[in-house]
Amino acid sequence: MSLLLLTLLAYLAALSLYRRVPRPWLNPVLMAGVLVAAYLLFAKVPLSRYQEATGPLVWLLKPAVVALGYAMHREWRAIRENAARFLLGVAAGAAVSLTLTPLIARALGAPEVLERALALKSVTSGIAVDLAPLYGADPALTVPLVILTGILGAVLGPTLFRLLGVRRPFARGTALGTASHGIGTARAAEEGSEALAAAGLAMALAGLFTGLLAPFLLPLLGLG
Amino acid sequence: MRAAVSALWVLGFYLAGEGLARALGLLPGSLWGMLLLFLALRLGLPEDWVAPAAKVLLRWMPLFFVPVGVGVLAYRELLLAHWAAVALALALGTLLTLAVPALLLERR
Repeated sequence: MSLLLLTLLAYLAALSLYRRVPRPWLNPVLMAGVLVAAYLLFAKVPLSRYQEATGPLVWLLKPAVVALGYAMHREWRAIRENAARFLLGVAAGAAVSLTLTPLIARALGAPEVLERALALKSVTSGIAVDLAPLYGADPALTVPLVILTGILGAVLGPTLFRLLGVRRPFARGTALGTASHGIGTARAAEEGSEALAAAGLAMALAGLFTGLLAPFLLPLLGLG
Repeated sequence: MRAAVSALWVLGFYLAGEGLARALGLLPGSLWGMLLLFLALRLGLPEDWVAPAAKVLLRWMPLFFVPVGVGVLAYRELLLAHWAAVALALALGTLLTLAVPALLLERR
């Protein structure tokens, strides 16, 4: 079977499951990835052959990231009155993720290759794929960690907000988009249009701020 | 026709972004392109010129990174050996990344 077609069918199947049962842990990318990986192992297809066959599909991430600029423009209205606070919040969240996540992993004895991938855990996958090579991280290791981060944030976020007394949809959406990119944004959609727009904008900006902060913060951790 | 022209616009912004990445570095070309497109739209570029292609790309973006994620197969042993460190770093890191912007924006 064509490996491109296999990827498309696995994704469509995972998407239709998710539409019926919209739970964060049934994330379509995770489920499609598991299906494709199972096929590759079962049919003994070398990973390099799969990656060669799907190269053109992955290339589309580049214009798709550019298209995030259009989404940002649409969402800008929702935060215009609180722009300074919003930008500060997203930048602080991006800086925390970029520095503390690899440090926690280091304290627990993880090797450098994992620290570098974990540093980008909150960056939306399309942007993470392009940022990873600049900082010695492998996109293949980074993307699954990014997706797990999205699921964790979407599942744990509402409970954390309750414990911290965070009630404003604007604050909750921004936090979900900053920490958990697209999966957090999907969760924020359940809290209304203001939370959704804040999350979507925060997702794109968290990727941008991570790109801007990484060259200064990662060398401080010895990961330059 | 409108859709094809909007795809060319998005591609044009991507290529301009790649140009900036070559000239200035710092960010990858796709992120420079995202920033340029956002600024152009804020400065008055009509939304309709890019909307059809942008919407399609955004809707299908998750499909585009499925193959990248499958590459994790090469890291099975590494992840099995360090699963506890990865799990704790992800969970604690995510809670901290949620808490900081949430608390900063909740206060009035």
